[in-house]
Amino acid sequence: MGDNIRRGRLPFRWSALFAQTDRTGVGSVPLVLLVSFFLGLTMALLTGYQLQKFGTERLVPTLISIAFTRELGPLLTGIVLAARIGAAFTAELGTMQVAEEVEAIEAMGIGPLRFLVAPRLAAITVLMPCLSVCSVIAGLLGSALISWITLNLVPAFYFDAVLSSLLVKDIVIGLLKAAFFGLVIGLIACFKGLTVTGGAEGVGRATTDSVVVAITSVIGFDTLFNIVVTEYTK
Amino acid sequence: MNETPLVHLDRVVVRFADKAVLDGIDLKIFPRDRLVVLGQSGGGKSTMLRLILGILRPTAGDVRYKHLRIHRLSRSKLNLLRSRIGMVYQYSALISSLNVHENLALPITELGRKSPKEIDQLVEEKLALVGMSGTEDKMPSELSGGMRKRVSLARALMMDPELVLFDEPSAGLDPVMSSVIDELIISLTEKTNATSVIVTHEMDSAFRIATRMAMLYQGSIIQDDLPETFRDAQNPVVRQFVTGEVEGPITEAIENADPS
Repeated sequence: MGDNIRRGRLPFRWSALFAQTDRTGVGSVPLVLLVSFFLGLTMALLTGYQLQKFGTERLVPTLISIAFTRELGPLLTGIVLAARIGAAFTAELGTMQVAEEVEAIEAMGIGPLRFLVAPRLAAITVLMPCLSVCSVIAGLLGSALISWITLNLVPAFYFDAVLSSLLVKDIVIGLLKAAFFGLVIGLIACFKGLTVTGGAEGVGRATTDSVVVAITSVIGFDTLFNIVVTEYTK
Repeated sequence: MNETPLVHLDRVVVRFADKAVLDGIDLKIFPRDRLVVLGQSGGGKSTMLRLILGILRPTAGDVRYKHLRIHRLSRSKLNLLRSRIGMVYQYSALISSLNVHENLALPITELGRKSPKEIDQLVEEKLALVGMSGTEDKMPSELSGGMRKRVSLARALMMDPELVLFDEPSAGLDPVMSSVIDELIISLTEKTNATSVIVTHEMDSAFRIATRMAMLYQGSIIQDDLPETFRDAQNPVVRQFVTGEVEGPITEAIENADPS
């Protein structure tokens, strides 16, 4: 792959990138939207229930918008993609490894990194921030709906409060985190897939490992990211 | 023979953990040879092919392609060398997510600088060579074992290789299809002047294809000669392998082997 970059060639083929982007991104949108909508709804319900006791339920939009933009959007999208796309990457590459397809690609003089890994990594890294934005929007819609029904916060007030409480910094941090999580999930999934041994059982084991390690890593890196960012942006 | 070998495995040792799969083998492959390497399953025959492709590195010794030491080449030079070698895998190893056309076009689109029209022509030409015209749009899962093997052979020929390696080309095929593949190997290597190394333990196929034979046993080449000499082999191991008798030194060695 390094050789391709030195020769001025892209480290992946456009057609392979578009195929992976379609699978990773478009295919994941409904699931990310649904999960985020329900989480936004539940969060608004629970925080509103508590804040109502102090008469401060008007803070719900602020709480939800910052929580989703900086934290829950990227984290939730990361977990969904680790389970959905990470597992698919590992199973696909693992099956190719077992069927000697990866070796056949290598034997033709084609780098498996350029052909198999780079398009997947690029797709998931670029699409994680996009899906994270979808997650934030769905979460806010869910919370706006429940706030309107149970807390009498009209949508106009809700979204006005959201816009006034959000900082560019929060959005940038959320997007950077999402891209980084995408890279982590992609690396783990491809590594686990390309190192499969032991036939069908090995593919199953690697897929489970990939999902477990990717989800744990996403949560672990999220915590680390939060500590670092909070420390340096005080 | 004074001719310079195309490939020379020079005192090659390959160890996996403590087991020596290849134990100092010395084998020269000359241009236009159709060398059949015989040996038991798990005896290191496929390992030999992977050494030639540079996928495995020898524990000791040298693997040379002409004057190049394969295991010392940089990644880019090794890839360039691999593009001059075709490989047909035991189970075809066609990329399951690509159709026949895309499978064949893959090495050219990735490594060559041909226009889509030229690639289409080349794919048609190679498919016709193996008698698979009209299957361009089929997926590998829609093909039978014999068809997959023929497509795999066409893919191996896409870059007009100097050397074609065959790993168990008749494995899993019925006798008729096995003979068809054998005839294809002979006619195609003759037409293209390619050198070929065929790894097998199917004796009928071996005698049909070979211009030279080598027997790999317990990590060493115990006989390297013309096919006729294998028919009347004096070496008891070679004789038992060729005739397929139950009693003999091979079965005795298996029985005496330490199960640990």
